[in-house]
Amino acid sequence: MDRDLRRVWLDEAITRWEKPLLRLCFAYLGDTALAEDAVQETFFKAWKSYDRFRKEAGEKTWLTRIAINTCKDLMKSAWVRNTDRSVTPDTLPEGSAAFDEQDDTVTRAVMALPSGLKEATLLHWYQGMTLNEMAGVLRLPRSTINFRLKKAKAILKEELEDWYFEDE
Amino acid sequence: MKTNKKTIQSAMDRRLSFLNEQPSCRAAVLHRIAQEEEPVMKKKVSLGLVFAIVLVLLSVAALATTLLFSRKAEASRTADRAMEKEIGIGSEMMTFFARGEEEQEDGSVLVTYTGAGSLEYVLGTYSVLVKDGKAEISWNREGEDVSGGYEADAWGIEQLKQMLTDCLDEETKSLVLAKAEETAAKHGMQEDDAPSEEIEGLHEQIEARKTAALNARKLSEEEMIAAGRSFIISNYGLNEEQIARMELYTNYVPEFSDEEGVIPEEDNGNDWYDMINDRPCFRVEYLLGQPEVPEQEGVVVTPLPREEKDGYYIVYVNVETGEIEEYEFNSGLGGIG
Repeated sequence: MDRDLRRVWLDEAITRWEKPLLRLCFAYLGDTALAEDAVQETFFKAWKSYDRFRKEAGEKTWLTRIAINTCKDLMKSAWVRNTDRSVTPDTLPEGSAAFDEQDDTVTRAVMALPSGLKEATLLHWYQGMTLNEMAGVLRLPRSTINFRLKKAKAILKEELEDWYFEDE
Repeated sequence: MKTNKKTIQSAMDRRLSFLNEQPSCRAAVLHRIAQEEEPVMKKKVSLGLVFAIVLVLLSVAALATTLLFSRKAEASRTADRAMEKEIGIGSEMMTFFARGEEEQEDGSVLVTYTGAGSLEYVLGTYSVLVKDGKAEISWNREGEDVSGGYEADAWGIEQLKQMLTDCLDEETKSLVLAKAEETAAKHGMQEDDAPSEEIEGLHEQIEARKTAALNARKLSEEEMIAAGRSFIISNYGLNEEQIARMELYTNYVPEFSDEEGVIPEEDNGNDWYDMINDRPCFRVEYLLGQPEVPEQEGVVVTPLPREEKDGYYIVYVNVETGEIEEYEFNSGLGGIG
């Protein structure tokens, strides 16, 4: 893949995926500056390894995998490891769109999930990925993903019962 | 219980609405790319860009299925075996390389193994000329000093062996890759800067390519999956225990698709099809992974460690002829993703 073609692709990819990736990375890392770094790193890595993209299931899957791996790398860095990353309302900046207490509760509940469950929740219920796509992103057996989704759902149901989980 | 992809999605989107596109992101990425492109010294080896291929059918009995290979795939197998036998680079180590094949005018096939991504400079390129079933190997870093571990400018078999261990851990892996990048930067590397035509509607073109491959299909997907599976088992020498762990990813249908809150798979019908080397292919994909460790209350569960040959196996099967056109094994130890 030559340089010009990759540039065209990169330009389109940033336009299309920057916002969803930024929000995904923030939900994963709980820090705006880190999330921005992760997204930049994601696009840079993607640009460098574009030749591999041909064999991937899809652009979204591929970019998300790079983003998730980048977030994991960042989480392992010494600074992040030694920082309290628990999510409280005051650690989340104000939104630019209107949101209410329920939105805050949902977001904090998702961000507070254990990392494996959070990962599954973010990809499936936030990013709207199918199980096949998630398997491609996480490189995990689907049985593991199924299990994590069910587990996450059970925790969220308990946490958010008053807000969103209703018996029909 | 009413589960709610939409409620989670919309609640989080509203709450995270302070995060939007920023011009600084694009600028920062472009700046890094410009820095990457600055030094001019080495021209990147272009892989997998050969199109005109003479079709030669070769059959090999493997398990219960007769496997057919394109000429390039057959040459790749010969080259793979030679790399393992003569250099000691087996399928696990090949994860650190990108393989390319190019047919020569005299009927031989040149198979190249170039260090993947940031490993390109340190690992260099192994070229294997396959002719009449025989393989001749050369390495563009031959004669260079490979001693000193990762400090060496050229990394040979000793470093590759070490990488198999070091890259099991993501943190150590990133250090290895960073070292490779640092060494490459020290010597300057430049991407191929030949001008090219701008391609508009890239996504539409990819979609059209996939649909063309689907429309050319003459074999059933079951036949192609069987061929791909047989190839993986025979080519990589999987044992019974490993075969039992093989999980098919192609055309997967979720087990609990009826459950509330689970997003149904989108089926465009062409998801697993593509044109590979201008030939219509169906992608057969298997995962060889470890079984899940059951969770226990209050106990941090450690996943089972990776075992040899665990990873992703991808086989492109020609939808018209059933030939294996291309194959790949990704152990997850090297490169991006």
